[in-house]
Amino acid sequence: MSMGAVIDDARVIVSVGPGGVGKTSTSAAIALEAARRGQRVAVLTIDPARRLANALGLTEMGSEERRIGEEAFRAAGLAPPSGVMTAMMLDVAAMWDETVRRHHPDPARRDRLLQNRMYQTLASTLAGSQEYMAMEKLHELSTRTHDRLDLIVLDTPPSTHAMDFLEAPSKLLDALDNEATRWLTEPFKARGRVASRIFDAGGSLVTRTLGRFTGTETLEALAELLSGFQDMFDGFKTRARAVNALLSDPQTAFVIVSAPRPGPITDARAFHARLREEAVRIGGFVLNRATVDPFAGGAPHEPDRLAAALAGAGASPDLAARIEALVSERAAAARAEAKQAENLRHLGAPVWLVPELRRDVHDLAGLDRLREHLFAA
Amino acid sequence: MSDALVRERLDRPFQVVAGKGGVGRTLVASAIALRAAAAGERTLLLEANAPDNAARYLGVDASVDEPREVLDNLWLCRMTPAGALREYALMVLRFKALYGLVFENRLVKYFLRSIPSLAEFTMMGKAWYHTTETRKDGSPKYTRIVLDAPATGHAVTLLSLSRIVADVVPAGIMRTAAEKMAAVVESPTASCLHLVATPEEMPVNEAIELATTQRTRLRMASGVVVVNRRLPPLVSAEEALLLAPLRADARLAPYAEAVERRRELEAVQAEHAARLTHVLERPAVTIEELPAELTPFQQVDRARRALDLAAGTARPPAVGAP
Repeated sequence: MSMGAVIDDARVIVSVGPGGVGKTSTSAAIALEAARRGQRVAVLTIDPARRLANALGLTEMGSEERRIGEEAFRAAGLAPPSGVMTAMMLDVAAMWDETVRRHHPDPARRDRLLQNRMYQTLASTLAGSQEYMAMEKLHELSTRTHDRLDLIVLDTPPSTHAMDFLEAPSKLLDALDNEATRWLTEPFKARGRVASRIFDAGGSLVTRTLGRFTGTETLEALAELLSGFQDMFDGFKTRARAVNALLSDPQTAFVIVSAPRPGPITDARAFHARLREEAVRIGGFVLNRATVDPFAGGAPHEPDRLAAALAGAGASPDLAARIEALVSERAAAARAEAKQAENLRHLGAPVWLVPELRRDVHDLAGLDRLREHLFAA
Repeated sequence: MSDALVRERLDRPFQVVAGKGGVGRTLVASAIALRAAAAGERTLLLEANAPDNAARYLGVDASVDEPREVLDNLWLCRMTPAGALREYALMVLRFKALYGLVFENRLVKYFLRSIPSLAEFTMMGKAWYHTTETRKDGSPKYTRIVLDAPATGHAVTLLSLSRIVADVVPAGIMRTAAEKMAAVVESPTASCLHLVATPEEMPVNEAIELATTQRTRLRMASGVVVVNRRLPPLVSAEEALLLAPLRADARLAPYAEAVERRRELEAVQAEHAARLTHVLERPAVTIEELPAELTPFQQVDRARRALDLAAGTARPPAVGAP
């Protein structure tokens, strides 16, 4: 199956993979191709390199959706696509505020939560926050009734653990609401204070020791924070269920982005195994930055001819040897990478090997070059 | 001048090594620790990172929760969330049985895991605790502590947490501990943050962003910036000129093409390295791309030599180095 076919019948494409392999650029290149095919497509990125963000028109932080205008394409020497391409960046702290404002059922308690000293700091540093907010945004984009999208490309936070993205939201929800946190927050909800529970002479050894460990006031502030989150919990769960259903839908394809080198390949396999366990649809593997063998055309290495030519030009005698070592090393790397890709194909998913580009991808023209390679692969 | 700056930063008692995932933080942290130990400093290398990597580089047994002297003057210790929490709790409670009763309680275990960033807080607490340990004569047990931090995002959490807790949490035992920890992290003379990046777009961006965070949120002193895995020039500019005629010969053109690509890559790396050192305004150390056939220890030793060279403190290579 070609990458083009994946685009044509998916409504959501999720790029997953380790960091540093061009995941964001790949997501943007996929979106660009969809726009060229006439689709209305949005790419949601987590933490793009600044220059790439600029290329996508994302000049400042904020979760606002920006359309990449015709003039931007023309300026890059490209024909504007027939469809519409928009891009947005996930600003976790701002999204927490937005989620609390939009979904908290009780205005007074909502304001208390937003003003809680621990809230701002902890909401955005809470493990799983980014992943959870990516889910919230995906839900919002997929259910909106205006400017309906033909395709959403979701660029997930880089992680080495395949399960992080899929599990983080439920872990986060579990951290906010479980037997133990309810035990702390219930008295707070009933009386507005948790202190009694901790300070009570009759309080258990466990609570008194915990208080000694963290300070009772800390427990109180935490209880307030947690109970504020718990007020929104039914909404959290409903949307998380909806997103889970969307992710397992056959119209959602996961694309595993990696590089054809041992470490990233191991990661890619782990992602594949994990996604298969979840029974989601796997679109295929994109392996970026494949080494280009200068002699890929099949011409033989001719070190003697090279040495003779260079000697004739008066070069130092070891120059030819240095150059031959370079091309031999590139050829060996290219062979090893092709073999890695071949082994990956045995897993049953398509593998697209994308050659390394001569410059970093940091503008629309670069994205377009990446797109050409990706859809030719 | 620059030598002296590099030397002063590499000789501070508390040093943290940070950078994007995969740029070689552990290699650099191990090299800094090895350099200090070779100079006779009692050095503790703390791994808050993927465990076992430093041990692999140093060619010693995997690190455990307690510092262990693995080479002369070099102690290695890992920091895991669970281990650090346990040590912190035992220190506060001073009573093992009570720890077992409370912290092994299922509900409490669950609860502690749900407190945001508690794990990072206790890990930083452990790092701080080791700075306070003394020998019988009252002198510090470790004269150098090198912390191999996790990748950028987690490193910021780890390093900023003591300040956040000190500012945000109500008075109590946690705040007191946090204030002591923040004092070590924020010391303008005794601690510093080294940044590591490979000369590529994203790692350099992250290092630059981290430097901004360091000055604003972390209030930490700057260390050195390490440019890791820089390709040495394959051919000189004069030699490159000699290659131009090869293009006319179809059988040799791929050679010219390969050298041109290599030179482009070197140029891109030079741009990124320049961006890094220009923006960061701190002493720079370059470690060249090391040959793949070197053993991990040989790699660390090469990195140590690069540090010594930059600091003007070159020493003979360690036994077993090439």
